[in-house]
Amino acid sequence: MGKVITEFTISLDGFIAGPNDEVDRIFGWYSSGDTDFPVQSSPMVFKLSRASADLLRESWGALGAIVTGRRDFDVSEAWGGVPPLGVPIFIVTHNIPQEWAKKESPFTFVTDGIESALAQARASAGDKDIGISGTQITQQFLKAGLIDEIRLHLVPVLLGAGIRLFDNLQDENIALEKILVVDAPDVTHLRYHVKK
Amino acid sequence: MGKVTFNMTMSLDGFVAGPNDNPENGLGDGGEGLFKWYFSGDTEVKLSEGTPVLKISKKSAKLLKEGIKGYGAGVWGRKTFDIAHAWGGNPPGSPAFIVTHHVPQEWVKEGSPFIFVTDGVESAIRQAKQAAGEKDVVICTASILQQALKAGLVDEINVDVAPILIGGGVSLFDHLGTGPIELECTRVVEAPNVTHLCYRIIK
Repeated sequence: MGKVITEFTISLDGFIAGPNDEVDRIFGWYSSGDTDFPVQSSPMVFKLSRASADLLRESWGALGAIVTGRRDFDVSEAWGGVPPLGVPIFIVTHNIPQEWAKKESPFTFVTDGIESALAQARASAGDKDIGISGTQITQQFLKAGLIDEIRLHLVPVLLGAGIRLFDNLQDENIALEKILVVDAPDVTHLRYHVKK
Repeated sequence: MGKVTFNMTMSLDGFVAGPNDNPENGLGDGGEGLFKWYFSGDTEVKLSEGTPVLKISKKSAKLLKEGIKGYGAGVWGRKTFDIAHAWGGNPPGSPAFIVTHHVPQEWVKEGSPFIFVTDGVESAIRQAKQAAGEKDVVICTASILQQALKAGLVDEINVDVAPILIGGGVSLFDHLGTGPIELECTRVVEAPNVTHLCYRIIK
């Protein structure tokens, strides 16, 4: 069975985007290296350091499905109609956006919660990993003890305000085990296993 | 002239103590995990008579000893001073500048290692720099760091990241109320139960 993984680029002060969802201050490492990294199912090509490219290739190559939230879907404007990284994506929402509710829609909307979304993602991913995205969905997954691994791309900036990844955890104490630290140019990659 | 640096242990979700931290509950609820790295290694380090003997990994010990060598003066907040019970009069570094509104009279005496500063963080750092000379001023309290960052007085941030999510408590980078502050990561040391990160503040 694949792992359930959440992965974010994050500032030292814990923000994954600025107050208006801006990511330009933290996504610099995607374009500051000299190794071309074509993004699956997208015309985008990142320019990464070799160390970062090796990690992302491994991480994204093992991905079988993504679960995210409605806000992520809206902010990204439905990723231009193409699921990111070309894997099935399950969007947890209360209200299905009708323009995407058609039969051949590339998106699956889940209205009965994160467990259901995870079960559907698993069925679709087979043995591959499941990526959890969207901060609120990630927080719900963390609280429910459903995350196996946290992967952070820690970037050297203090944003001072914005969207916090580890918010709303309500004093939840979660022990982690550090499994990987990679000191790459413009970013420090950290991987933690969530102890259960 | 020395640097103005900062050094504390932080959880992966950004807390330096759990909720309800007080002198009877120093690291707050659920905060004990922060200091696991201080007591799970095989190299003994003692900072002062007022602090317990640390048992840390060789890698962490090497860093800590470098820090001690560079120490010229420290700046703490009053809450930290109270939570530490004034380290029994033996702070982890000396001289120790304590920012407070009310001076605890029992520590105002000949030979006291404490200098109480009642006119704010900027004044405390200025006095600490003077005392430190060529050596470094080390800030060891979250609220002091926040105010010093706002005032542009910090040169370097050292964060020891503990592998734990606490979910609440004393947030290290709260109340910054500034625009983005650019950093340069100058050192990453992976050690047992902790990741030591060092950042230079780009001015």
